[in-house]
Amino acid sequence: MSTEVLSFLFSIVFMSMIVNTALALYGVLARPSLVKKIIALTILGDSANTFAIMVGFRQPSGTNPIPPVLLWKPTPSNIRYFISHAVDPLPQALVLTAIVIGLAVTLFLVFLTIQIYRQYGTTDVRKVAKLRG
Amino acid sequence: MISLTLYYVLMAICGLGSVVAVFLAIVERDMLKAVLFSAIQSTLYAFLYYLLMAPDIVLTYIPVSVGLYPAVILFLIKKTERFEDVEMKKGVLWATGLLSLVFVIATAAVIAGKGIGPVPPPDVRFLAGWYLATTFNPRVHLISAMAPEGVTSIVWDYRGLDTVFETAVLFLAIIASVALMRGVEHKGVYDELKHGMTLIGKTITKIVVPLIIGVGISIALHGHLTPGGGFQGGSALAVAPLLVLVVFSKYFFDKVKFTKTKALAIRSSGLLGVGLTAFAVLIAAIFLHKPAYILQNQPRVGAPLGFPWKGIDGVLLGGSLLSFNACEAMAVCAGFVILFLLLSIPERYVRSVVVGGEEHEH
Amino acid sequence: MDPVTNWVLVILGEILVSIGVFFDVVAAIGMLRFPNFFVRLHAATIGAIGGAFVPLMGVALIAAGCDFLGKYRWFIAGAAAVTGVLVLMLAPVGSHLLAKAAHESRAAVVEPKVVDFLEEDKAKEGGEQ
Repeated sequence: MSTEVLSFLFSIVFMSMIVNTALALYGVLARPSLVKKIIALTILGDSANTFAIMVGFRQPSGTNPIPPVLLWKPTPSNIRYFISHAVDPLPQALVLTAIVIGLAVTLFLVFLTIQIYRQYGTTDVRKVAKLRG
Repeated sequence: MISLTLYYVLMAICGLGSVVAVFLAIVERDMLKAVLFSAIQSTLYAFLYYLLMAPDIVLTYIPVSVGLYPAVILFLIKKTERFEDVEMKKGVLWATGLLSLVFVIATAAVIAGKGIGPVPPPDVRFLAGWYLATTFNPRVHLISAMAPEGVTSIVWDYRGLDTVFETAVLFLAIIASVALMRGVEHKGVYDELKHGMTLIGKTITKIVVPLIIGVGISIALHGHLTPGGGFQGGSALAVAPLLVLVVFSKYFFDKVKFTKTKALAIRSSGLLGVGLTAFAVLIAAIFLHKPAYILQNQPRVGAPLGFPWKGIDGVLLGGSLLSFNACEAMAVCAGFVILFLLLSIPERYVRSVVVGGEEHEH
Repeated sequence: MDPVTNWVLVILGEILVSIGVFFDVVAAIGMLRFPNFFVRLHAATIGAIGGAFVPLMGVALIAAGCDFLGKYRWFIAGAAAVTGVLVLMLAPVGSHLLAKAAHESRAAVVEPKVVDFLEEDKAKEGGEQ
């Protein structure tokens, strides 16, 4: 019983991320404003990052997991406890750099959008497409 | 088992709340409100990361997504357009929103009832077990990173080369933005009364900015011991100059003579520090006539040189991680400061330089 | 510490938390019922000071009076106290700047208005220049 409840609650988080990804994709592809596209792109990136972190999550039977930081003296028993309870550090390391680089890339997109507004006087992609040429 | 259920209930609430926030952010026509909803979504994600036992991610995500993203997008909206020209029917909107919530709960119920739901496994992958076992284990010194923080060890030791290349991506994105604004130099005389916000705001900023800088430096320099590191510390540090920029106005930076060139110099010295740390052991080995690797931290089999991991009184130094974290924090922070300085130049002035004589009428 | 001091600390803390609950309810009612932006901002600040600073101090006292928390006792108490002081410092400044910005950009209409001294001062300054 209990495992099914936990599975249901965890599935809600999982499906929420899928729906968020879908909504953000709609925002990136279908909305005309470049500003809205940038906002949707950040949401898309964050949702993808959350998937990566959820892959590394674990549930040791009965107790809560711990972060991948060894806070005690490195005795063999402590390290054994650490290995059997800590979550996967690898996705976290990858997501960590992805977030900061995502910010830098977003800033570049912001500069590009401002440049487009300077040249065309609009951030609406439909109008930009018409104005070309 | 009660507390464990509560823990998962909190996670589910964060997930469902983020669906609502994302939906509102995407369909909203007013960009200011969309940014607000996006910030609410970021806050919920930060809670979720905390519950998923990723304190490192929380430390990066809060300054970046709750502080810097909204500020940058607000700058963007101020310089461009606020409203999106799109028509949507109210009924369709409500139906879509409700449908997405119902979809989440129904699909979750279906996959959980069938027993194929994504229950978190009780064990991690073999590779993760290997990382956890060797991140700080003095008895297997030759394969250990000798720093208790698993994530920072992976970032700068196990997969150090990845991170160096990711730093290069960061560097290129910043250089590309600077290139878009080349030739734009704007200086003004700072006037205490005319520029920036009120005296109350300025006084409290003078109190808060040192606190933020202290927290950022502490996150960066304790990166090998507790959650934190170069990227986290750098993005936390970047909040302080942004705050000064908003509250004191851009001309304050002209008054204290902190220009784009100086920020570029700080950033380049940070990158140089990352490079030197990557080659330090190799350079030492060349003089001592011993074999060594690029990005070497601790002694390895056949390569006996390495950074010290233990200081006086058994203080953990973390080998090369400490140096990497300090230099990366400098580079990240100064890189973002350059972009904020460029974003804050008044649009009328930039337009006269970038568009030049061919001013369009709209 | 002896049990009596612990009990006094816990009870004082619980009184502060209850005061915080009262202020939060009042602030929520104010947010819904007040007519314009500026008085609603006033209600929001009541929520930040009375509804966040006071209960955070209460949490600090409760944590300081709980022996069973062990080494986390002073950690929780100190963190709650520091957070409370930061909220006390930052929340009024935030609402001050919001009100100033809303007044200057004329984004919020003051309605019903009895008197607006800032507007009158500005008109006077404008007349002199």
